[in-house]
Amino acid sequence: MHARLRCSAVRGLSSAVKASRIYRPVASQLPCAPIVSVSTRQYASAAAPSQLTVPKDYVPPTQPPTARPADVRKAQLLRSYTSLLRSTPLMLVFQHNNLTATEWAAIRRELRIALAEVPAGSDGVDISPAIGLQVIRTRIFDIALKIVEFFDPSKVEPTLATTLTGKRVKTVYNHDLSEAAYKAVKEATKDGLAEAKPSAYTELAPLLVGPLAVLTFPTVSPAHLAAALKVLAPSPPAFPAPPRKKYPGYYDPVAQNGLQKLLLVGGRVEGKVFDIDGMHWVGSIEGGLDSLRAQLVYMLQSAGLGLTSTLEGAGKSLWLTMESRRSVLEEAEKGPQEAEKTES
Amino acid sequence: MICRTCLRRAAPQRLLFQNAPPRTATFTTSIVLRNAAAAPPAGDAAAAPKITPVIDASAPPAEPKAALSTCEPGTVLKGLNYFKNKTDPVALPDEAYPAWLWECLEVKKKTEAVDANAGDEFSKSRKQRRLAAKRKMQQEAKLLASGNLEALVPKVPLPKQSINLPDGSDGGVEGAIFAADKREELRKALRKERKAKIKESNYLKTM
Repeated sequence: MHARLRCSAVRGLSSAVKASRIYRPVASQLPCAPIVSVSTRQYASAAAPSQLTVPKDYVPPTQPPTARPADVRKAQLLRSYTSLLRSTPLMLVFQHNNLTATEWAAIRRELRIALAEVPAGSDGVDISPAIGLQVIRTRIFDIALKIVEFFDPSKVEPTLATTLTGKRVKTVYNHDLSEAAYKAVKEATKDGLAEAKPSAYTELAPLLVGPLAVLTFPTVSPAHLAAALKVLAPSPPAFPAPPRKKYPGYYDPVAQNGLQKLLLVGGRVEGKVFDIDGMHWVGSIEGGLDSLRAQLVYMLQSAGLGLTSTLEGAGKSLWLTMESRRSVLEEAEKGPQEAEKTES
Repeated sequence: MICRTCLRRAAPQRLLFQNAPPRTATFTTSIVLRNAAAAPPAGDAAAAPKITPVIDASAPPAEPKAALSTCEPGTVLKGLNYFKNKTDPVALPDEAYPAWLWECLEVKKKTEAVDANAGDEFSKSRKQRRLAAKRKMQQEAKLLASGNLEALVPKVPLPKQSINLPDGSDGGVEGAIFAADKREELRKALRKERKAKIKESNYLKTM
């Protein structure tokens, strides 16, 4: 009897759930949802009960319908990774191979010490506490990158949704876990379509293999990048490892073992993908973005000066030629008269 | 000839007598005050003329002063002395104590209020269930009174939400740091949920 029940009823239920596909979180499904049932209690001022209950198909604003179940860990990681990709202009990608917890702790400690010594930028915000090394789930990160690259939230059509008062209004569900995002990514990556067209995804996708960790910066700061590179992937002429005397913890066997297993594979700066040499170039920019801007301004100014002097030059040389010619002619006119005067 | 050690010994005492009222105001001079039973009346005599004009000038400040301390300045606090050869300390005027002293008990009340919010409707603890029920009743009463429907929106816990996390697209560096903080918050919430789940399954395994 028990087995029969399991076969028929449960299977039937699961198929019914699968058929709907979209997981609509209805308020009544949540045990903690404060659904007010007025009818059970007696109040002095009795209001209409219908006004104080949530409509059956009401969708909470923080839990819009999703293409896949939203309460699983993968979905939450996906939310977190899309936010990470959008809010991180500078990111280093590392491959980590069997690092132990103590090795991670040693590496993070040395990184924190090195970053704390970098002076704050021109805007006065100290970003070093916000720079962190974080292990990621590669496949989920790959999907997050696809969503960031191929899904345009502004092109989603509005759908009808019920408000608290029971009215049907047009609402746009264009979040990253939405059906629209899911479909857009499926469409873009169908039959190797994504690989055919060059994009930031096709550049970064080859790096997203194996166990990965990312070092995220809240802003493009070459000084902080250089400090991080010196600790995590030192390359002697430009980015030497920290000196042994000043940083004995860096030469601790635990930290050194961990660093040997950590491999820099590339980076992403302002949506563009750089390899190791590219990251070295970004790290070697003296004075950061401000100095680059100053260089550009200087270059534009000097070009302007050159142009004006060139344009002026033609007029000036003409004037000089005419002037010299005039003086020659005047001398020639004066010359014979003076000669006659001296003779007579 | 004047002895140097005598001079040194005399110097702090002289200072003490000249600046008696301000010295009593600092919290570190408690040992000096505990020493002498005869000193406090002198200190009160010095402090009293300074306080009285303030009271005369405006009536309202007199009221909170009366409310602060239960014992009047000059009361001998019996049994509070714990030094071997010293007498019991004497209560000072309210102004002589730091301001935080009068508020240090309120901090505890605040933390208790935060705990009251954590009442769970389905908790094993009866006290927690009762707290949750009480809060719910209050909420309903408030809703009925105001007619505001916004409070009806179910509070979805962070690991069950599906909206986008902040992406820091408009805030620059601050926006990016804010987004990172939110991600960290989610990570912590996920971890907390996971730990609770493990705890629950371990408990159920023992049954």
